Amino acid sequence: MSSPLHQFEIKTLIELPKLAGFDVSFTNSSLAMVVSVVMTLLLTSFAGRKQALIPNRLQSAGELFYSFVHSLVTDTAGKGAASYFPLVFSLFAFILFGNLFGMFPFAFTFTSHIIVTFALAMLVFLFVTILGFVKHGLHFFRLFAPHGVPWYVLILLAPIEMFSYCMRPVTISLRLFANMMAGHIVLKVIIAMTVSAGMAIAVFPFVLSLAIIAFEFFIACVQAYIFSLLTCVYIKDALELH
Amino acid sequence: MPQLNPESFVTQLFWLLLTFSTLYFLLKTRGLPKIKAVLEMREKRVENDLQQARELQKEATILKGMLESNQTEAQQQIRRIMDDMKTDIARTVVIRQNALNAEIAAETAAAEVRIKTARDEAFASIQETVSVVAAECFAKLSGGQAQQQSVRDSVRVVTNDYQKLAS
Repeated sequence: MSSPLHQFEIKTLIELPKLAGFDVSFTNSSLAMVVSVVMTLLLTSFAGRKQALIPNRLQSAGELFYSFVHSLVTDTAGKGAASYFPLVFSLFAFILFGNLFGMFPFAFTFTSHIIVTFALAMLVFLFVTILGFVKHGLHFFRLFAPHGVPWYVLILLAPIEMFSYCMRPVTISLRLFANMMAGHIVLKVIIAMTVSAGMAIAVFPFVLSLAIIAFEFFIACVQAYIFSLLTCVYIKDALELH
Repeated sequence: MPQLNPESFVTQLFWLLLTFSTLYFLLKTRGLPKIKAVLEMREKRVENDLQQARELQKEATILKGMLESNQTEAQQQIRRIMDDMKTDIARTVVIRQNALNAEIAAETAAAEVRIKTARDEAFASIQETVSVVAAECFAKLSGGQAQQQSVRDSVRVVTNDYQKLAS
């Protein structure tokens, strides 16, 4: 039986010439990313293609997807955040389809790699921080000093706030990465048990694996939702401070 | 753990950057504006329809109000006409009744006069006849001749009393 970590192995599919001395070959991870992008573009192009007054099923699905993310942005971060909607939509769709594609047997889950989730989280973190400084200048530091707090508390509170702010990319990326990795490891272990156990006992891990597969689909959606929801919360913080 | 192998970091980051930025720009410039246009078109259409419905409803309410006021006006007119006719009829009835009463009174008076003359005539003729019959009876009973004038006076007294009683 192969290691349950074997599924996270990066395999080069197409060898590419080195770029500035770095290996940028097309891997199974790259393939999964491309699939996620293509799925998102297919769904959105179906939704916007015919521009019918009464939508068909695919168009309706795309519009529902759009409205869902749009209300997520405007409900969480306010009407003023509507211009950052494309970013949140891209993040949500990219992560969601990445997670869902990973649920196919033998498919690779690029969100189960900390470097990818951390890069996405850093993107959000840098974007939000720059947004905050652009909108408020140095007043952005008010974010670390909530209103109505006496100065002697601030001495303690401000560093804590600043620390928690800087830990945001770590927490948000670890949450997504750990959820996806743990889920796939558990799946792999349970299914390996089904294969290796005798016929009489194999029923139990088999039934369990079915339940866990359903649960993993749920987790795939929830984690994409949480990632984009937190992005919206951070955008709101940057726009309105406290 | 393959996730902690730094050798694969660069290629993952490179492809992440490539795919995600492609996705972002395609969505921002083409995918999302199209969906937005569709949704806005539908919203506008629905809003227009609702607006039209509201206007039509307003119009209908106005028309209904006009209809109702017309109806009450018509009802009032009908009531007025009926009242007019009623008073008219009542007046005509009174006039006719008065005229008829006068006519009846006149005829009654004429008839009474006629009756009176007829009775007087009758009494007059009865006086004569009764005087003759009384004189004849007196003659037959007494064998003597009755004095014409006193018989006639007695008869007149009796008939006059009777006439007073009768009238």
